[in-house]
Amino acid sequence: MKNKKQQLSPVINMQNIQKHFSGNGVETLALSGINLEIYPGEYTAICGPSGCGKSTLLSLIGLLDGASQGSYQLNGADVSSLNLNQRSAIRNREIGFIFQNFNLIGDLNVFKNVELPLVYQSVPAKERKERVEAVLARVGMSERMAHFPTQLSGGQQQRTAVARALVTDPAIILADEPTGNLDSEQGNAIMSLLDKLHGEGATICLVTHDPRYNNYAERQINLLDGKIISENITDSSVRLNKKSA
Amino acid sequence: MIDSLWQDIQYGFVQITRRFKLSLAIIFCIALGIGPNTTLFSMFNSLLLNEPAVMAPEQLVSIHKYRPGKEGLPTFTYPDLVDFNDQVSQLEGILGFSYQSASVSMPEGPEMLPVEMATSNFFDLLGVQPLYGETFHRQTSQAPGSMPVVVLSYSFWQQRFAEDKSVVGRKIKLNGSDMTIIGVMPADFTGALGAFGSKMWLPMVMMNIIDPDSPARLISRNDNWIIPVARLAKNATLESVNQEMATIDSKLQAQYPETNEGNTHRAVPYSNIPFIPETARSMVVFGASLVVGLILLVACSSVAALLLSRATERRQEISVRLALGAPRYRVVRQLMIENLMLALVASVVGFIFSLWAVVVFKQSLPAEIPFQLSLDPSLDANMLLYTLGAAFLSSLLFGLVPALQATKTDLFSALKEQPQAGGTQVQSSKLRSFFLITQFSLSVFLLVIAGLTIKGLHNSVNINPGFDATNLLTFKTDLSLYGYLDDEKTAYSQRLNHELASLAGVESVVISRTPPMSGDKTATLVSSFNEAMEAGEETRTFYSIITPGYFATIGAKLLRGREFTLDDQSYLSPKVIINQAMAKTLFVGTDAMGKYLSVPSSDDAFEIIAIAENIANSSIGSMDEPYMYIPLGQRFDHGLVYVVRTEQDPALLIDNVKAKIAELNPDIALNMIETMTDTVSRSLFSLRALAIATSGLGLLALLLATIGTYGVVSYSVKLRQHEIGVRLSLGAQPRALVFMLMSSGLKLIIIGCVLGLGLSFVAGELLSPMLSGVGPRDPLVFILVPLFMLSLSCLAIYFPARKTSRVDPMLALRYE
Ligand SMILES: Nc1ncnc2c1ncn2[C@@H]1O[C@H](COP(=O)(O)OP(=O)(O)OP(=O)(O)O)[C@@H](O)[C@H]1O
Ligand SMILES: [Mg+2]
Repeated sequence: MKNKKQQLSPVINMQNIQKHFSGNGVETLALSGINLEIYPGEYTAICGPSGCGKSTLLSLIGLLDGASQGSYQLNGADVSSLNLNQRSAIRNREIGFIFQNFNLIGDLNVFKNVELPLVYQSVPAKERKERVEAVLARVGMSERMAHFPTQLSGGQQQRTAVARALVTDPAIILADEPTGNLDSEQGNAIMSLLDKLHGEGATICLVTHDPRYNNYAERQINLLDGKIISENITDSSVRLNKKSA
Repeated sequence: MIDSLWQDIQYGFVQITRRFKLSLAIIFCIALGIGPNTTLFSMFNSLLLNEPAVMAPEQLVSIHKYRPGKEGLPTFTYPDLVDFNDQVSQLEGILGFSYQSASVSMPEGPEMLPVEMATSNFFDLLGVQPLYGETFHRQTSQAPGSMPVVVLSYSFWQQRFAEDKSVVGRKIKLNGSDMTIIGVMPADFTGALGAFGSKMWLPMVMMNIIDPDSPARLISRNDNWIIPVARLAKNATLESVNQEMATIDSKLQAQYPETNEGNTHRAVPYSNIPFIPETARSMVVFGASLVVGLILLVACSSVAALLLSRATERRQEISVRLALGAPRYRVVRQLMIENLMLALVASVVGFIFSLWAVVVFKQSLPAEIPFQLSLDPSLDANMLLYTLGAAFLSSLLFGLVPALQATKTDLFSALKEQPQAGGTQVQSSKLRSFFLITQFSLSVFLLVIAGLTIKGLHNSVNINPGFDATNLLTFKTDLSLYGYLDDEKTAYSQRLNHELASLAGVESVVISRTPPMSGDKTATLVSSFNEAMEAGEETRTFYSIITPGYFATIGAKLLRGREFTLDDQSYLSPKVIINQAMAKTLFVGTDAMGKYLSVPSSDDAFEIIAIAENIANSSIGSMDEPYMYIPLGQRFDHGLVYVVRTEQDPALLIDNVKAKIAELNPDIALNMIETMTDTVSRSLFSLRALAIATSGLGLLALLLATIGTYGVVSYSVKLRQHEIGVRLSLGAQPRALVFMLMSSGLKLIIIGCVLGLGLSFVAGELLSPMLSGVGPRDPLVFILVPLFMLSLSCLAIYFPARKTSRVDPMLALRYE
């Protein structure tokens, strides 16, 4: 069912990326010399100790922030030097975010939260409704469409966030410690949801601390002090074994 | 597009109702800021912008008369008007009118009411039809008194005749003469100038019942008393009219060089309020707009500061939207729609506020104005546009900067934050400081202006006017209007004088042409005679005509000499009393007593028999003007004022005085019967109105600034709750924390005060000449205002700071 990645062009292609933060008199080199290719349908985990630059890398992939140096192609198009509005438009179409703290908008109910990216895409209301309902069904939140975030459990909130990330059919889903604020049972549920989506063909890039979840991904990138130090590829069969274990 | 706008509106509605307290505070502030603006505009609107309800008002033009070295004014002499109207072909015609007042018979007795004298072409040229009956038209006979008819205004008809349709053909008494009511005008017709209406219109030829001097006025080319309005002829333009008017002017100048030399008439665009010179009008409009504009600015910066604080709280929401791919303009638009919705509600509230304010303003107008001011704020197209414009402008003023600021966040860090967690840096503090400083400096500025005006008012009230204003009653009657001849007038006055003096509670009665503080002034030129009876240089002086016992009755002092006696009333040896100021200017270094004065209109030499102390003859500000008093018999005039000294409260005698006069002649209406204390307070009307307006606006600004400060401090303190919890858990003293939280706010307030005082120095220079005894840097005002400001704003900062510093540290930390 899945295509061989070698025959495809990468979704993400980063060459020699460097990122430093400055301000308040502090200079931090958060990332340097990053070369990264991610292919369609891949499930990648970014691992490493706290402060090594995982979130920073994810924010660069997601165009929340721009790199200080280096080239970045998303779906074959150069996105290294876009202005804010162009980046917004690309984020909207190509990228789905899942945050550790869910980042749902408190004043909007589940349906409206999930609908939001489509509103920004100017999708007609009727189509929006169909797509939102479909994606909520996929994450098992059809029953809670009219609820507000405060009326949901953490796991339900995160599932809503996953639905919101999926609704635009993005090229890649970025998840920064999606289980960080959840207890292990809820965390497991989210991880299996991501796994299911991966099974359905989604490209996912995950940051996690929790070694238990590293093995869900078929590819692990290890960061240390802002550099990629190693990479493990897990065979699909092993991955499935681990999961059932 | 429509769909997405609708989404924004819906979301705005959610936000507004969710943050109900904040929304209310914003609406309240903006409504208070917009209110004075809509009030002022609705007044301008009904005074300046409303077109009169006549046929094709766009064809109307005003005509200004230019005299050498003077600004053009819409005045005409009657003969000039007739000549122009006959000769000009580029105009359909020129109509003229004049505001007068007349004693009108009313069910409760005669009453002085504003009436409008109009040329016979008035209604035809305006192209208006009566509601009932007919109007008067151009007539061949121009003989004075030949058209004893009136046309009633709708409001007068309503008020006096209770909308009785059979009133046409009935008679009504004006100044004792019977006039036939020939018609009633529709409700929206107020005359040729929108807001300045009348109770009724009379043909110009009936001027004789209004003004005994009218025969002379109707032929004088010197007496400019008619307001002209003209209608353009077909295809005529202002230029073509003015070309033609210039030729007519030169003809008239050649024909009447003595009166018309140098005078020109020019058609100018129609104005609703032509008799106030352009420069004065624009100054008033500018000054008033500036002050109310400042209020709106204070309100907006208050709200802007609030929104900047709020934006910090909303950072997460906005970042999520941006992360999901909303273009920045969409988010800005969404925030602005929310702001616009708030501003719209606020401007509706402000408009309601202004309806109320205009009613209050109308009630506080002095009763005696010679026209009927129709100041009825209504939501017409102008008003609607203005209100919408004000809402739009203020939402831009208070919302745009915070919205731009809020959408400029660093997404990466904003999204990492835990909602509600502490550690959020209080953002955009520079901008917020700017807004806080702005509102404080403007408030100080407005309060200082208010303080200076109040002090000026206070001084004026407490200046000794040089006479005793308590227990004095004055009223005016004009016997000439009721057909009395000169001898009869004297007889009547003497009889009235006698009857009044014998009323219980009356001490004495005198007559004066212009009693103290009346605001009226009559000037003449005089010169002193030297020993050789050679007249010296002429100087301008003011004068009044009085009867014996005047100074004793009003309680003023004669420094030298004596009062007039009945003997002084004869023409044989004219006598005069002058005031100190005149003695000083006319008789430098010599004793004025017993010297003689020459008065241009008289061949006689007037002997000075007394020197009176300076008193406030026309107003408080006129104390030091040269003034002279002439006995009544020597210069008889019409329109005299009776001054009655009473034993007790003079207001109690008003009914008795009215009854006495009705006994003598039931047609005579008393003009302006009032106690001297009321006269004095009326003379301070404009100063008092200014004091009330500026202090009201100043306090409003202060209130707004205080709300703004309180809101901003509450928000930023709330955002620092986590930090404060940490500090408290580490053992910080709550008192020290209060001080820490207050100090940054206080710094801004002090900067604002200093800037405001700087602005006020400039305003002080401009204001102090208008205020008696107030220096431009009045120390009391300049110290009290900032002190007051500081203490109030300390409270506004103190309460939120204290509340936070008392919080349970565990509670503050638990947010993590
Ligand atoms: N806005 C910023 N300004 C300055 N330095 C920053 C900023 N954001 C992150 N950093 C620095 O960049 C480095 C990488 O941070 P990053 O958040 O990517 O780490 P991380 O690997 O996600 O850590 P964790 O596992 O604890 O979340 C850190 O040293 C951090 O101090
Ligand atoms: Mg991280």
